[in-house]
Amino acid sequence: MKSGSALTPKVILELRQVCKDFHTRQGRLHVLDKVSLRVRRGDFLCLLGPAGCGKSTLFHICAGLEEPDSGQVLIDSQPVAGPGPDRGVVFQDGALFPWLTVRGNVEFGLTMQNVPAGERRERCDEALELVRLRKFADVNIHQLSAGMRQRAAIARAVVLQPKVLLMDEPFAALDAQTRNIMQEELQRIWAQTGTAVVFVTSNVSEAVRLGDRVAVMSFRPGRIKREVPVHRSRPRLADDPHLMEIRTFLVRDLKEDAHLAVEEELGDA
Amino acid sequence: MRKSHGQVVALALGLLLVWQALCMSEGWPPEVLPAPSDVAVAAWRMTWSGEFFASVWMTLRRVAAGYLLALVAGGGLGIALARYGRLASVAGPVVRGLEALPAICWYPLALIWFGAGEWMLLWVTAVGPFFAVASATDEAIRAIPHAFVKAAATLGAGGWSMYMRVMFPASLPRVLVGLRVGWSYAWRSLLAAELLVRGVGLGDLLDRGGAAETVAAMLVVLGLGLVVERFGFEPVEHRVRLRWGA
Ligand SMILES: Nc1ncnc2c1ncn2[C@@H]1O[C@H](COP(=O)(O)OP(=O)(O)OP(=O)(O)O)[C@@H](O)[C@H]1O
Ligand SMILES: [Mg+2]
Repeated sequence: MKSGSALTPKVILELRQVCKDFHTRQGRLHVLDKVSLRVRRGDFLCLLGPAGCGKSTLFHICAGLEEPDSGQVLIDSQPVAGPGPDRGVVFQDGALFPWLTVRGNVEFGLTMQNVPAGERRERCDEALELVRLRKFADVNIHQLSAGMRQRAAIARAVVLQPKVLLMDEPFAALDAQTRNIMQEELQRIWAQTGTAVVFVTSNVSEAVRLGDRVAVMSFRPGRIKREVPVHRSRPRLADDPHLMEIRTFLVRDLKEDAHLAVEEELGDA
Repeated sequence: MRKSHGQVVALALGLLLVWQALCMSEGWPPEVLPAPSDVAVAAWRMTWSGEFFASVWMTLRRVAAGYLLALVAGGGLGIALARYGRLASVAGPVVRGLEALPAICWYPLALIWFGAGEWMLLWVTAVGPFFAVASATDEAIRAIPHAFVKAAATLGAGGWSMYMRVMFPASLPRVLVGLRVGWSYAWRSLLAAELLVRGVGLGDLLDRGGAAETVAAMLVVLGLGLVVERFGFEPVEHRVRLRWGA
């Protein structure tokens, strides 16, 4: 289905030559250098790079939370101006609102769109069903485990039926087992909703397991070094031997940049 | 919490008995240490003469006016401080500095400015919570995790809805601490100021009659403080703690 030029799905999110500098006390930090990316409908793109290479910066730019210095971000061929419901966003720590229940959190975006209470409730229940949190609708956030919080954060984002789901290291803070389960769950959720996903990670195994493509970022300046396709049927297991080869390649590919990143960190101190 | 209620009441009754026994056996002059029975008689008399109600009413009105004024003005200043960095860098230290000044220190100056009347009392009552609430609100807003604001923005919040549905609830736990501190400033400095001027009010009642009347008035002040604590702050803080799990 996915191959064949006539059937190539529509581009949903496109980055064209995106550049971003930060001005710090140490001087100018050239973080993103002419980053171009295309995400098509139903795509699962993993953005892989060493710590500090600019993944979150790129993520914020896609989400509309930060502006690029130059270049363009297009959603459905329209330039992005600020955050919008067409892009669902999941942060590393979930960033759920502790003053609301799970339901309150999931309905938040619908409330902002003035969706009537009845429909809000229905759509919230659907989203909670999708992430298997239906029973926890009326629970307070602090009562949820870390994995359940990320489920709730995913529900809060997908309930708005975004064109693309942006996730910034959403499972990085989870323990190994929970992380494994959440990777399975995300593959299921993605298959069920059909939403395109841009998944930021610094974990090679995670990128290879989840992505149809893995975009590898270099360190300082942050560029898309290469895109590696991962042809493998789903659901994929964590220890799938066919993924090992790509994994080994990517680990080598990242090594140099990762060293640079660590050196800079230590040099700063 | 619940279980200890009985013990607290028992302890209070015990102290009362010891107190009564002391007064009766040692034969201390009641002008120095009135017995609980004397206090009860005085309280009875003051209740029926209407003094209690007039004073309580007057003092509650003053503290409510001063406190509410301080909430609105202090909250406004706190929001402005959090919002405008330039203002905060200049006015922030001043606000925190003036919060350290016990509000009753304003009494002499307020007396010169306003005379021994309601405006003076309003000033002395409001000035303490004003600075407390302003600095607490400022700090509370600054301490809001950036992730909440970012997440809310991606969910479509902005402008007014960002303030009301995100910034306000996110800062509430810390603001509540400021509200509580501000309340105690208002309550204490108002009573001190009332004690210093003649007129209707609980502070004045403390120093009007003999020792028995003083103790009766003290009990009323204590009771009012506990009521505000128990039915004002505790339920709100309890709910916030339940939600946030802190
Ligand atoms: N607002 C900012 N002001 C100045 N420098 C910034 C800012 N945001 C990020 N940086 C710097 O830009 C670089 C890239 O940051 P970014 O957070 O995008 O990296 P990352 O790949 O997401 O890293 P991590 O793996 O730690 O999440 C880092 O060196 C960081 O210190
Ligand atoms: Mg990051």
